Amino acid sequence: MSTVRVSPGGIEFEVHPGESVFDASYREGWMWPTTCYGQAQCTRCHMKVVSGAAELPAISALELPIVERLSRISYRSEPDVVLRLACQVRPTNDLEVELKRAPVRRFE
Amino acid sequence: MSIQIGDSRLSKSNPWAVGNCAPGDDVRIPTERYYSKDFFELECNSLWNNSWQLACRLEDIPNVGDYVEYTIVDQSILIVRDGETTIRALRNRCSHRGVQLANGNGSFHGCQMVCPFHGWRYNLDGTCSYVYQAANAFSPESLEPESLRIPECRTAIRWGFVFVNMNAKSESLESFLEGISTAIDPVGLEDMRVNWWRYTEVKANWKVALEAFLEGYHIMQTHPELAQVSGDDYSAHLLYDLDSNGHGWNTQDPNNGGLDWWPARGISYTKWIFEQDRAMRVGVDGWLDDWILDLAASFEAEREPDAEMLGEYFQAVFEEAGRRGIPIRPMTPETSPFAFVFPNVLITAGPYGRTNVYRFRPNGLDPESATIEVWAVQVRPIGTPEGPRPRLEGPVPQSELPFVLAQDASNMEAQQRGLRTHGFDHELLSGRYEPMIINFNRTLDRLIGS
Repeated sequence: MSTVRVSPGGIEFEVHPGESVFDASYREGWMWPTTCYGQAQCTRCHMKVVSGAAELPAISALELPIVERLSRISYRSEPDVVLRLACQVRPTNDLEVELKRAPVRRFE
Repeated sequence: MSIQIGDSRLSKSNPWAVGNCAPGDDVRIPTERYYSKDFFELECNSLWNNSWQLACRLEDIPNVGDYVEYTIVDQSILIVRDGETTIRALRNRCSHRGVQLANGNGSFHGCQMVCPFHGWRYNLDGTCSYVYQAANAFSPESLEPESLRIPECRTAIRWGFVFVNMNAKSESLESFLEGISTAIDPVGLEDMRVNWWRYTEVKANWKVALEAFLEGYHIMQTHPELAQVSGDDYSAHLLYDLDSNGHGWNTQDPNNGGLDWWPARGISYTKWIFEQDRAMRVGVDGWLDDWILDLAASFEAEREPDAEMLGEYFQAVFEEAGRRGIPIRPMTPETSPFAFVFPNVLITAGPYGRTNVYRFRPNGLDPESATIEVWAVQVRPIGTPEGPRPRLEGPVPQSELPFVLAQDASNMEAQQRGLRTHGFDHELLSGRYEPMIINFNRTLDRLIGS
């Protein structure tokens, strides 16, 4: 079990073993930014990992080229930032991440 | 190519029907059934659009949101777990401009299926949940919820498999499988899990591929390793039960089977079982575990296998399985080692808790290309946690198939080419030795409505 802290918004939720950050946020009732819903396609779920990046499981061959491309296009001025897709990251440690916009409550 | 039920082309006559134009129980089957595009089209309309088909294993979709794509000729269906205990078979297309929503296998997240083209979304039950710029882009009449909903096929679960049927008015799966139930149910397929799942492709009609497995008459010539311990009249002792839905299965001859009969010359039935088991272990990459082979070897080291040894041996197998926590089910006299589920599935089951399940399909719209798929499944020791979702491997080159399957595959392409020989209008089938093939083709004709 790990905890993810998200800014802006200051929300915090648990991620179950084997679960992605995106799936955990959905389970907790948050609308994490996405348009592809977890298919590693739209890149809108990407996050800056502010702390805990080093302990994350290795990045997959599916995710790597996507975040590299994103980094060249949208984060050229921040070459050291660690970008990851929330739909692909299955953390085993606590994380602090930064989004462009705060997740909002999902309509039930 | 594919036509909806009720299309006028359904009434097209079937000049390729199987006849009785041979002496006795012999049957001649028109060779054009194996390469004619018109016959292939009749199969699409009458068979694939109307029949229960094995789509996937339940263990392929363990969690809510998991999906597997099932394809048959030019149709794609997504088998989706939309709840803890519910499964849906959804036509794989967006209601907007028809783009397929997913391929292969994977998971939908956030309970949404999203079209990659314009981002239209669907709930896992097929209802449309989002149309991008709906109010600006479309008139309200076009967005009527029922018309946006993804159409569904019928589903039913049996033996740990999900079956689908594109015909909403078809008989229930239970009733369709009723005749073959006692032959397959005792195998306990629902308690087994996938060891491996592979496919290969052959340049042959899907029925050529299937029918290579529907008789034991070929064993003497095609499978020397299986045949070497069996007598020349081995296949005469193979009996078949047939079902009016097209199923068929191998049974023991009650008057001439079991311990009173063994097909091999000069060796006991027990020795024959040991030899067969060793050949099958390698030949189909399944059948039984190595510890059972070791057990048989220890019996053989003690004395020459005799009739009494068989009971002692199986008792030892079950005792050791018990010690290992493996709940192998005893086979009933009705359990078939070799059962064909119409139209395209074969289940080969032994007494050792391991089974191979074969599925034969046309490769897309090509009447002369087929895929052969195998699930090797096995009973797990009690308490074994569920593993990762099985992964389909392939296409496996024919040379890399387990040798018995490679031997079967080797005949298919040669048969396909030979069937096209000018003047060779009919192949000849034996009513006694090849009845499952005949029953299969007659059932197909009945669906086509010759």
